[in-house]
Amino acid sequence: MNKRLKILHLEDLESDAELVERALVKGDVQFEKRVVDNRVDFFRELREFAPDIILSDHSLPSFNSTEALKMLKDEQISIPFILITATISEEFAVEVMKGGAYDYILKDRMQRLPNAIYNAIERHTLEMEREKYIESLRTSEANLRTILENATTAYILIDTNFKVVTFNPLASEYAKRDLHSDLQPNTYSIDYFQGERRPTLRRMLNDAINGINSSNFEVSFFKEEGHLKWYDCNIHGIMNSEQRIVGVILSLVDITERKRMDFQREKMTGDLIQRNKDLEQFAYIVSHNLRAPVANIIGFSTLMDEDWIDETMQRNCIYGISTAVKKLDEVVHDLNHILQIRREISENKETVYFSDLIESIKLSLGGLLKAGDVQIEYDFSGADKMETIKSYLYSIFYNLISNSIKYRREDVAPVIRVTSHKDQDRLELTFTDNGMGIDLEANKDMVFGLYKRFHNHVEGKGMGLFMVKTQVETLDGRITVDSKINQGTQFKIEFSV
Amino acid sequence: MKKINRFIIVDDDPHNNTLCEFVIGTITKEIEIVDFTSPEKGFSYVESTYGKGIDCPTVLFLDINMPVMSGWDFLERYHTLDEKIKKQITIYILSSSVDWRDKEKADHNPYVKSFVIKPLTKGTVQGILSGLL
Repeated sequence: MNKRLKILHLEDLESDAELVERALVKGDVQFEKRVVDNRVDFFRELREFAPDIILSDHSLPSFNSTEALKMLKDEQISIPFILITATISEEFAVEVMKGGAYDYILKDRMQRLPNAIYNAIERHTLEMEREKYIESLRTSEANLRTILENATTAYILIDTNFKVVTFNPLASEYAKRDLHSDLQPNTYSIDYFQGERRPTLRRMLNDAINGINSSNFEVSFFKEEGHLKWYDCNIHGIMNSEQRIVGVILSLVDITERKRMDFQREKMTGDLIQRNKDLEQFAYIVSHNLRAPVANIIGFSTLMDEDWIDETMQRNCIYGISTAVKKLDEVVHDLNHILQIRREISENKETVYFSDLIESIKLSLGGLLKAGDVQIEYDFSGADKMETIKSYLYSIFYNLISNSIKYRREDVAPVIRVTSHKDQDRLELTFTDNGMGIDLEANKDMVFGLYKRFHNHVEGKGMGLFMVKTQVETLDGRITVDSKINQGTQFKIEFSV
Repeated sequence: MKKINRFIIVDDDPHNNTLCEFVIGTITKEIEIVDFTSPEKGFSYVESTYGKGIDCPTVLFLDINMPVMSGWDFLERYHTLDEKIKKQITIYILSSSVDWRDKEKADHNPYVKSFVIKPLTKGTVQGILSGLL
C-alpha cells in the first residue's frame, strides 16, 4: 500500500498504544495514527481525521468497543473495525463480529496485526464496491420499471416457449379491454388471441426467436360497441450478452386515434376530389351553355352581313339572334340562382314539419294534381320534422314531386309516396314514384348534372335535380337515386342529425 | 371526294339547325338538307334510309350535348351499322364546345372526319364541299 494508512486507535493505556505502534512499524506499515480514549474524542476524530481503519481496545473507563461499533452503525459510517484485546471468550468474539467488527487480535499475538489490517481494508473495499454495484442495479431497475409502468406502449415479455414472463400495466389493461382476459405470468401467450390469429402469431414469434426477422404490423380488434381499436405491433427477439436470443418482446402502441384521423382525412380527400370534379363539370357545362347561344348569335349576325339577303331572311336572322340572347340571359340567371344557394346558408334554421310542406305543395300544384289524377301519399311516423332551412327543403320537396308528375307514365296515374325514417344519427327521406324512370345504366354519373336531361318529349331545362342536389348538399345531406325504366324512380335523402 | 347529295343535321337546338340551313343555303340550293332535333329520330332515319343500299354521299353534322342520346351515344350506335351505310356518310362533329377534351375524343373516333366549332360558317361548308375539310 503506497498511501499512509490513517489509523484511529481507541485505547486508554499508553503502553498498549505503544505495543500496537511497534507491531505496525515491525510489519512495515506506513501509517498515521491518532489515539483517543473517550466517546467525544472518538466521535470527533471519526469526522475530522476520517480514518481508513479503527483499532479498538475492548474496555475503557468511559467507553467500550461495543458502543463504538453501535455509534458507527447509527451514524452510518462504514470503516473497518478491528478489536484488540487481552483475553476474549468465544461467545464475546462472535458477538463483536456480529456487531460489525472485521476481526479481533489478541494482545499476545500482535504480529498478526498488519495482515489483519490489510485484509480488513481489502474486504471493506470489496464490500463497498458491491454495495455500489447493487445500488446502481437497484436504481436502473427502478428507472426501467418507472419507464415501463408509465410507457404509452404496452410491453409483454415472452420466453422461447411462448410463455408470458412479465408485462407492464398497460399490456394488462389492453388484454382486459380487447382480449377480455387477465394477463398472467407463466401462461401460454398465444392462448390469449382469437383462434384464427394464432398461426400467424406463432409464426412471427418463432421467427423472432430463431432470429430470422422481427415483425412490425398493424392489427385491429373489435370493441364491444363495434368500434375498431388499432395497434401498431412489434415483435422482436431479446438477446443476452452472448448474442443468444432468450425471449421475445411484444410491444403494442394504440394507434386508433391516428387511424381514425387517417380515415377521416381519406374521406375528406375523397369528398374534395368529388367536389372538384363537380365544379369542373359545372364549369364545363356552364361554358358550353353560354357558348351555344353565343355561337348562334355569331352565326346569324354573320349571315345578316350578306348583301343579298331578303327581308324574310333578315327577319329570321333577327328572330334567331333574339332567341339566342334570351337563352343567354336565362343561363346567366340560372347561374346566379345556383351561386346564391351556395352562398345563402346564413338563412335561419327552423323546425319544419314535413306534412306542412306536402300540403302547401299540394295547394300550389292544385289544378295540375286534379287534371293529372295525381295521388300524393305520405307517412311521416318515422320522423315528422327537422331543424332546417325551410325554403331549401320546400324547394327539394317541390322539385322532386313536380318531377314525378312531369315524368309520369302516359298510361298510369301517378302515385307519389313520401316517407321518413330516423335512427340514431341520421334522418332519411324517401320519395318514390311510379313514373317512367331514368336509364341509370346509361346516365349514372349525370342524373344530378346541370343541364342534363333524360327525356325529350317533356319540357325541361335540366336544372331541377341539379338544384335539388345542390340544396341537399348545402344542408349537409346526401341524395341517391334508384330507378327502373317504366317502373318508377326512388330518391333517398340522408341528413345527419 | 364524291359529290355531296345530302346534309343531315342532328342537334337538339332548333335555332342552330335553322342557322345551318341558312348558311348552306347561301352556298348551294342544290343539296337536300334534313335536320333532326331528336338524335334517336336522326339515327332511325340513317338506319332505314341508307340500309337499303342507295348511293347518296352525305355529310352529317352531329352535336355532342343532347339529352337522352348524346353525340357520343349516337356514334357508339353508329358503329354497329352496316358498312354500306357508313360508306355513304361522312360525320362532322358540330359543337359549341371549346373544351379540348371533346376535341380530343372526336379526333380519336374513327367515324368523325373533323371537329367543327359552332357556328357553322360558309367557309367551313365550302371547305367540306371542295373536299378540303
